[in-house]
This record gives sequence, C-alpha cells and structure tokens, in this order.
Amino acid sequence: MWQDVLGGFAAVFEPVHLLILLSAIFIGFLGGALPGISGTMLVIILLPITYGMDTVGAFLMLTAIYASTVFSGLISAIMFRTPGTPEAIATVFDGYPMAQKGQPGQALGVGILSSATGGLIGTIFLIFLTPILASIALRFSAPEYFALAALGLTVVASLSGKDLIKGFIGVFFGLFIATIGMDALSGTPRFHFGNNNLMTGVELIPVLIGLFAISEILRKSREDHHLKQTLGKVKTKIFDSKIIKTIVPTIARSSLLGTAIGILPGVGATTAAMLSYSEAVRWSKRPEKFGTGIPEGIAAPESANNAAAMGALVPLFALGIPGSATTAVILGAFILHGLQPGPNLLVTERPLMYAIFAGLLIVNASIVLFSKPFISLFAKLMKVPYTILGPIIVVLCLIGTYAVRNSLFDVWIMILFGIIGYYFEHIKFPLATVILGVVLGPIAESEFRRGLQMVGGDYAAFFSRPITAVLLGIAVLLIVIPLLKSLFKSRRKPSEGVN
Amino acid sequence: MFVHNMILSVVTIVFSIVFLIYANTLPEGRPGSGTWGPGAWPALMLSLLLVMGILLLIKTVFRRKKEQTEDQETDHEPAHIESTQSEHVETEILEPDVVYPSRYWVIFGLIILYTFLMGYIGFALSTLLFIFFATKVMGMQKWLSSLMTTVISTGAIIFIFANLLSVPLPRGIGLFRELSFLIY
Repeated sequence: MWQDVLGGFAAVFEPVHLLILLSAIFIGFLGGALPGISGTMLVIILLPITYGMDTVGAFLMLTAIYASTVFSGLISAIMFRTPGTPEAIATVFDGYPMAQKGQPGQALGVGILSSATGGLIGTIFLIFLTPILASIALRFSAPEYFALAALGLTVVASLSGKDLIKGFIGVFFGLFIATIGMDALSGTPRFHFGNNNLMTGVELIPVLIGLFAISEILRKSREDHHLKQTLGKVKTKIFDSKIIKTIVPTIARSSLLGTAIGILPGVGATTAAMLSYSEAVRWSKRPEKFGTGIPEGIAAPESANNAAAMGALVPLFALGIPGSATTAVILGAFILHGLQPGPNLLVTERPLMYAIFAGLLIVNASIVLFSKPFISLFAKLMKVPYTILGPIIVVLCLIGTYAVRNSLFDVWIMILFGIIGYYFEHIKFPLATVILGVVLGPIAESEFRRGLQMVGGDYAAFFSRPITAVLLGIAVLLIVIPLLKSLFKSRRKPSEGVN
Repeated sequence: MFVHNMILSVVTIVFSIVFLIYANTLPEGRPGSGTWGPGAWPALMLSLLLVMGILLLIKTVFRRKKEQTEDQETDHEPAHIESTQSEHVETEILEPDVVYPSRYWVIFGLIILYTFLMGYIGFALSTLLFIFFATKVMGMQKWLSSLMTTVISTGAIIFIFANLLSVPLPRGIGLFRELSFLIY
C-alpha cells in the first residue's frame, strides 16, 4: 500500500498535476471564504473545466476544491460572523466573539491548525479504510447493494432537520425523478411524454446545478451588493503554544468523531461540525465559557468538519455511495469521465485513486502553509462584488450543464430545478434530500429488482443473507429511531411548557 | 409557514396521483416470475410520496388548530422569557438583508431569455447580452463598468472553455453558426 501512496505522490508531482492542484487549492480557499459560494457550488461550477483534463488532473482538482473549501469557510465566519460555507456555521459561535475580543489572529490560527489536523487525520483514515471496505464490498451482489443503497437513503433523517415528513417528500420525489427515462432492466421508456430528450432520463448534473447553484444566485440577487465589509490588517498566529496546549484534546477527539460521522453515508461535514461542537461542550470542564470566544469552541467544529469531509469520501470511493451533496457531484464526475464508481474502482483505477489520496494529504497540509498569505491576499480580493460574480456563475452553470451531452434541453431542466430549488429554500425545505433520492434511486431500483430476480421473487430471501439483513436492519433502525424521537418530542412539548 | 405547507402538500398529492395513474399504464412484470415490471418501482415511490403528502396535510391542519387554541391561552409571554435566559447564548449568524425581494424574477427571466436566445444566436453573443443586463440588474451603476465586465468576462470564458479546454458550446443557427467557427 505504501508503494501505492508513493506512486500517488509521484503522479501528483508531475508539473501539470501540481499546477492543477495548487490552483485548485487557491480557488477552493477563495470560494470557501466568499459567503454565497459553497464547496458544492464550486465543485459544480468547475466540473466543466475538468472535461478536457485527464482523469488524474480532473479528480485532483475536484477533490482539492472539495477539501479546501471546507477549511476556508472559517475565515468569514470568524471575521464577519458570516460563514463562508455551511460547514463553518458552528465556527461562528466562538470564532466571532474571540475575534471581537481582540484576538482575530489567534482565532484564525486555531481554526487553521484544527482544520489541517482534522483533515489529515480524516485522510489517513480514508487511505486505510477505503481498501478494506472495498475488498469486503467486492463480494457483494445485488441484494447487498440494494441494502447499501437503502442504508444510504436513511440519511434522509439527518438531512431533513426538524421536518422529517418534508425530508421524505424530498427523497421520494428524487427517487421518482430517477425513474424517468428508459428502464435499464426491461428497456421500457417511462414518463417521457413523447419527448426524446427524456428517453435517456433526467441527468444528475442539471438537477444538482439547478437546485444548488441557480437557486442560490436567485436568492442572492435579492440582496444589496454594495460592499460593506472589509478585512482590516490581521496578523494570523498559527502556533501559539499556550493555546495549542488547551486545544489538543479537543482536536484529537473532534477529528476522530468527525471522521466517524463523515463515513456514515449522507451525514456530511456540516452535521459533523455541529455535533462535535455540542460534544465539546459536554466534555469540557468549563462548558459555560462556550459561546464567549474560547479556542476549544473553534477547534471542535473546525477539526470535525475537515475530518468528516475526508471521511465522507470513504463510502464514495469504496462503495460508490455518496455521503453528501458535494460527494454526489464527485460521483457524477466519475460517471462523466467514463469511470464506474464502486469497489472495483480501487482495482481498475488504482493509480488514480492513490493520486487522489496523495493530493488530499497535500491539500490538508497546505492549509497550514498557504492560509497565512491567502488571508492577506483575500483582503484585496474581497473587492470583487457579487454583481459581477453572480452573472458569471450563471454562465458557468450553463456551460457545465450544456457540456454534459451538448444539450440545451438539459439547460432547461437546470432552470426548472433552479426555480424549484429557490422555492424549496424559501420554505425551508431540505434540498439535499432530493439529491439523495436522485443519486441513489437508480442503484436502489436496479439492484432491488435484480436481487429479486436472483432469489426468484422471494422477499424473505433478502433477510436470509447475513450482510443484507444487517444492513437493512441498521437502515430500519436509523429511520425508526428519529421518527419515534420526533413523535415523543411533540407529545412532550405541551407539558414542558416554554423552553 | 401554514400557507407554504398547505401548497406543498397539495402539490405533492396532485403530483403523485397524476403520475401514479400514468405509472399504472406501464407493462407489468412477467407473471409468475416474481419480478417487478418497469412500472412497479416508480408506482411504489409515488405511493409513498402520496402518503407523505397526506401526512403533511394532516400535520399542517392539525398544528394550525393547536396553535390557534394555544394563542388564545397564552398571549405575549415569550419576549419576557428570552431576556432571562441569556446565560448560554450562541452568537447569531449574520444574515444579509433582503433588499430587493422580487429581483430574482428579473434574473430568472433573464436566464430564460438567455437560454432561449443561445439556441439561435449562439453562445458568444447571448452571453455578452446576458452578462451586460444581469450586472445592470444586480446593481452595477456605471455603464462603462458593465460594458468592460461584459466584454472581458465573456472573452475570458470563451477563451478558457472553448479554446483552451475545447468544451463544446452552442453555436446557434444559420449565419451565427458560421460566424461562431471564427471564434471557437
């Protein structure tokens, strides 16, 4: 394995790839730091750029952007109380007060160090766990794959926040969208209404770009874009030995917690950061200080979100099941580049996969190296206003959608999902659940039907296969527990009074 | 929230019923083989969607009723309580204000027009028009800055995507198609 990792480094250090990686890190830092451009959106926007690259370059770029945006969201979270990416929401709680107390440099330093450590720990787990999981999954057949997809779908519970019913509406809507087009098993066209473009189905990319990018631009267009915030002179202080001593246990705990949460299908870095923050409060000897600007309050979410972002790549690379919206885009990118995501990827595309691993190690280490100069540069770059950025992003979205299969029809699909996404966002509907359904739908359906064919239509046979039974059992538990919880909560509420 | 949830649930219910009817016209699986036909899975998903739509409708109506009765019992207590429990307050996240609530319609219209035009006059010309008007709508005041932004960004995008990365871009029809070959 170490030879593979070394080989990966060798591939990354080829001049073209290194150039791609470094520019991806820079773009990722920038996009993550600017509020309104999330990692998901950035990966989507830059997807078309990768069409013309070789696979190593393409995936180095996408994964580097993915990893670096998770980090840089903390800059605006700490300085302006506005998280640059959703992953940095929990960083605001202590980061902003700490900066206000006159320690912005230290606050940024804690964030940088925690992000890098969390990301590195997550990547190491990624490198070790992916081959193990993939080798187990290589023995899977249709019923097991269906069970895996079902397990992935249960993530709906965590994605939908307080409103489980809406989450389910989103998932089933997505699952239905996925059935449009030619049925893979029987060749029957479904729900195409005589439109030839719909025969091949609704592509994932237009849906993603519409829901996440176009809707965001529509939302942002309602704001006033005259610059109000500027970044003054900040001296970033990464290695402050007094602070480091206090945050080491938090970083260690949160990185492990974050990795574990990330590996669970569907629970992304945002949830990991939130959970890690509340866990840090629980473990702390001074829980009352959280929220007032203490280093642990930054270290906990920042090490967890970067670790979780790497952890979320484990199910993607080993099983072909995306753990979050951004990993769903990367999954789509694999398909666009003619690769079949799944356990076979590590066998057939071994050099590519290890180049990605090596690239991720470099990206996470480079957070410590490059963040300081970046922050001083960022102060100047912030002056590019959204009035320019917004329209350009629309054009990039259009190119990305069109280029998938040279189809303006797909662009119309993107626009349709853009307005759907805008309204969903408006009524606080959990958008990511739709993506979950669209991504996992084809796997779930075809593997279920193939599995059923395999066992001769005997539903009980699904449960007599040990792995399938365990996976489906966990899936059922993951759905039933939150359901019961929400039921109990609504029962208890009236007696609790105001709380 | 009440109105939004009502609309969402009704749309969900209607949507799933319409497509359920359609799904039932799809051929069935081979009888006796225990396999599912092409319509069975989508029909199952739509049925579940229908159930969720109905559940949301019930929940929304039920909650509305409960809220109305609760409102009558407790009038305006919450404001008082908030001030007493300021011990462990999390820093609020700064959300930018919505200044132009209906501007998204204009942008949305522009995107539709842009896509529509692109099929006829090709990528280059339609993008020039789109970026120019979109920056204006988004609040760029100076004509010269809008013009500069438009030309530079369109040029850069075409150069990077079409020339450097050879990503296919729409060429339009007729004369526009011929002209586009001169650029990319």
